Amino acid sequence: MCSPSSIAQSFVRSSPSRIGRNVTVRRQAALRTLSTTSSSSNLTSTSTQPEPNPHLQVLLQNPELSENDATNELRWIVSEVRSHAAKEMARGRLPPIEDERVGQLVRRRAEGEPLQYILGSTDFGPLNLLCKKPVLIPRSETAHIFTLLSQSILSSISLLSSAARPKEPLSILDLCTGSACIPLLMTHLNPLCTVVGIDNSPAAVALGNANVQKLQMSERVKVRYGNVFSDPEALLLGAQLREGGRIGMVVSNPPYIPYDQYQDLPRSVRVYESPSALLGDGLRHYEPGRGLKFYERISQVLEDLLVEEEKMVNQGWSDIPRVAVEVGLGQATEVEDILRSSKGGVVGRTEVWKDQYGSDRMVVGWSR
Amino acid sequence: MISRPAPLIPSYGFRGFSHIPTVSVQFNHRHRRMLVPTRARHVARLSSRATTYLRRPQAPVLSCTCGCSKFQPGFSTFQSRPIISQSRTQLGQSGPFGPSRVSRRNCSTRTGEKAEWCTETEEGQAKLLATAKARVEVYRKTISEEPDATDVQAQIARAKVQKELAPLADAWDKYLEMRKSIIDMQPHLNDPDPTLREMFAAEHQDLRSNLDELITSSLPRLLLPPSPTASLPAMMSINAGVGGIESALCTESIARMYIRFAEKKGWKTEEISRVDGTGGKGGGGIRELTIKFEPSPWGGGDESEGANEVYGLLQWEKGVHRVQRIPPNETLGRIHTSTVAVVVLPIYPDTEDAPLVDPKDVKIDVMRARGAGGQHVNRTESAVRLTHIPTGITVSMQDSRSQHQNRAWAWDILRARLSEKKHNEDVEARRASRRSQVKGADRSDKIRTYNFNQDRLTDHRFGFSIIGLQNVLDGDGLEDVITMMKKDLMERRLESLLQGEEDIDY
Repeated sequence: MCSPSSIAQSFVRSSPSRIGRNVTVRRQAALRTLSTTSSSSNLTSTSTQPEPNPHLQVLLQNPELSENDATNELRWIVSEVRSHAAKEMARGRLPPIEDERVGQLVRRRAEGEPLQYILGSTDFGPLNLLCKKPVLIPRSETAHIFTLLSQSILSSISLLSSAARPKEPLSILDLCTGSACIPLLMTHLNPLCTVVGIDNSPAAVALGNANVQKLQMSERVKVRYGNVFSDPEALLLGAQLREGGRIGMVVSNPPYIPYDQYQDLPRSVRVYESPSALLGDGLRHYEPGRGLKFYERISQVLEDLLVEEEKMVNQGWSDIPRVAVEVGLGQATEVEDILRSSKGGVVGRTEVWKDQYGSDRMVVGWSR
Repeated sequence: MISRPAPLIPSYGFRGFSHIPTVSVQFNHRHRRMLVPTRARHVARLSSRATTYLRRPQAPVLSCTCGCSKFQPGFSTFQSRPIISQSRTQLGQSGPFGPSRVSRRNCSTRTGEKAEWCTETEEGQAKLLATAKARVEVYRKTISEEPDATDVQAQIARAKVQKELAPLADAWDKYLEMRKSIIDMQPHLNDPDPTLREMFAAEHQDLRSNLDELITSSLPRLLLPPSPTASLPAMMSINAGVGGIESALCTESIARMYIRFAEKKGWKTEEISRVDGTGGKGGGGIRELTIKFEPSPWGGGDESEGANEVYGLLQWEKGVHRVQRIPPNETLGRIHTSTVAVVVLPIYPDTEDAPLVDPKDVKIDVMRARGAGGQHVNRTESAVRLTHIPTGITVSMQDSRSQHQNRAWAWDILRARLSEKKHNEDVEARRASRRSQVKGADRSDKIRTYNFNQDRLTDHRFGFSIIGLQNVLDGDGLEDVITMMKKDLMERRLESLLQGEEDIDY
């Protein structure tokens, strides 16, 4: 599985020394003769049988982890603890004892806490973002589809290095931004855009701002408190746009899990991540729903949020998607219908994009 | 394999040993020390005046050893010889050699079989000179040949030889000229006028040091240009072989040796993947380690020549390393033998004109199909697998928590493996055109033994041993070992060229 060994196999032709193996055999033979004559107890402490790692055994109590996952996660935990200890020492502080610290983290993981919360960070495409309970942990599918979206935008306009590039930056509104992963990724991939992220959780807004600070994107990414279900004018005001200013594009990864599926979620998601970031029908709707309430709301307010297509074309942003939302399993067709029936016919054409695992993951809408 | 009980080593690591830092080297291979005569500064000042005297008609040359056409370096001087003290070289102004050497020298050059050496260095480099002469003859032959206008291939080959060898031929002419003037001057060294004699001596000394410089710097560089792969960055994979935990511990020491060596050289090292040993807490060693070595972006901490020859130096390390010692976790004081396999790959640059890999040829796999995905699950999986479709090479990487990082490393490794393939193909193509198989060292299994009990390192390829193992394992002595391999390669290259074969690179 791991590459170094495969390199070795292809270039070191024969097995690593027959001589060595013979020696091992002879050693074991000698060992056996010795153990019959003298009853020494520590004879078996030679280098043949690796003992199972106790931390690994603890990790495997978590039913979500396969043995391979557990091995990898233990390695990441250990390396994180080590690099943390090195940082502490560089600051002149005494680091915690490695084995104890690893033990603590491993126990938390064994109980089901997500590794990203334990280690405090996760990777999101090329970015490294902070993670904090209970804000939703950015998923790799989200990174994949929003990277595709950014590439699609960049390929439909003229080259950013040419004189014909758009005159104004593209303003994007990200609803339900959480840890601000989508705004940061979009600004990272496209230097000619500004993003405002909105979330109704103070914890998420705080974490989002921390991430913006960490990646030094505060000039182009703003994270504000706001509620999708409030007045669209308030959303625009919250975005602190110019008077009467509108948005070029709306993106969102809203909560989309129906309540009946919520009960079957893995423990690391259900217990540790905020239900308000997951439940597509809101917290008060504990009756069976389709998890589509956020899409319906977005469809309703699109007309009030988006700038007219003519203005976009004038600025040089012709033929770019105006709305892009992540969707859950089996929701793509319904979300397409919802978006196409939005007020004022803002969305004329939609497409469904797949994630890296081949499932329908995103609905993208154009004006025409 | 049970030997005398040794004192228990308190903890794993090499600080427990104490060794004399000096390295004494035992050869059973021919290596010589060359002694360059130091140039007397005050004499140099006289040389300009001396040249005016030299413009006078020359006295008849007694020993006609003028280099140009009849000069033929003898092969008898290939055997090792004692190092002559420096003082004698300086004092011996009556001739380049002390009286003790005159008897051995065949001064009668009318037969044209043996030449007199002008300087110590020249004699030391006899083989180099013989090779250079052979190459220059090849050049002259191609020049004098009548080109066959119809044979395009032959013309291309001819042009290639001429292009490659023209600078060497120039340097060779310069050498012969210099040599001639030295020999011409020899009768004047016994001039009855002491002032004149001193001036001639100064000029003679001056010319000799120029000659030495030509022989030691220009000629080797032109005759044996450094391999084009030598300065490439390298990827090294160190794998524990047989020997269980002890082998993992040895892998750690060997890895440490290379990392220290790279630090000393000022190279940039990047640990790409690492699988720790299973031996309990803390001291489990390493089962597998992949490191990328790159020349320092700032020019390197080591200013010596060839400091940035990353692959050039590390290529000698590929093979199986055998370690014999009493492991730190051995309670009965028995010597264990374990092995460590080292693989070194050059990394060719992926340039636009010679792309190693077309991204379209590479399939990026996602390791596992998922269920609902998205918000429903929270996976930490970061594995990446690349498949290079034309060659079928696959690379999997799951070492980092970051998939992005894993992908970057997987591409690095894929490039390195394609580089290795290309390198092997290049070497095979050249080898196929050669008459005899080269006595190369790259196919041998066990290349080196580290014997801790005897404090000895033995390299099996060239059969030499070094005492002072700890010095090597600290990365300091490794340079000496590699230098020996390089010298040996140079000898073999010279031999190959002398026999009129193609240049070899390993």
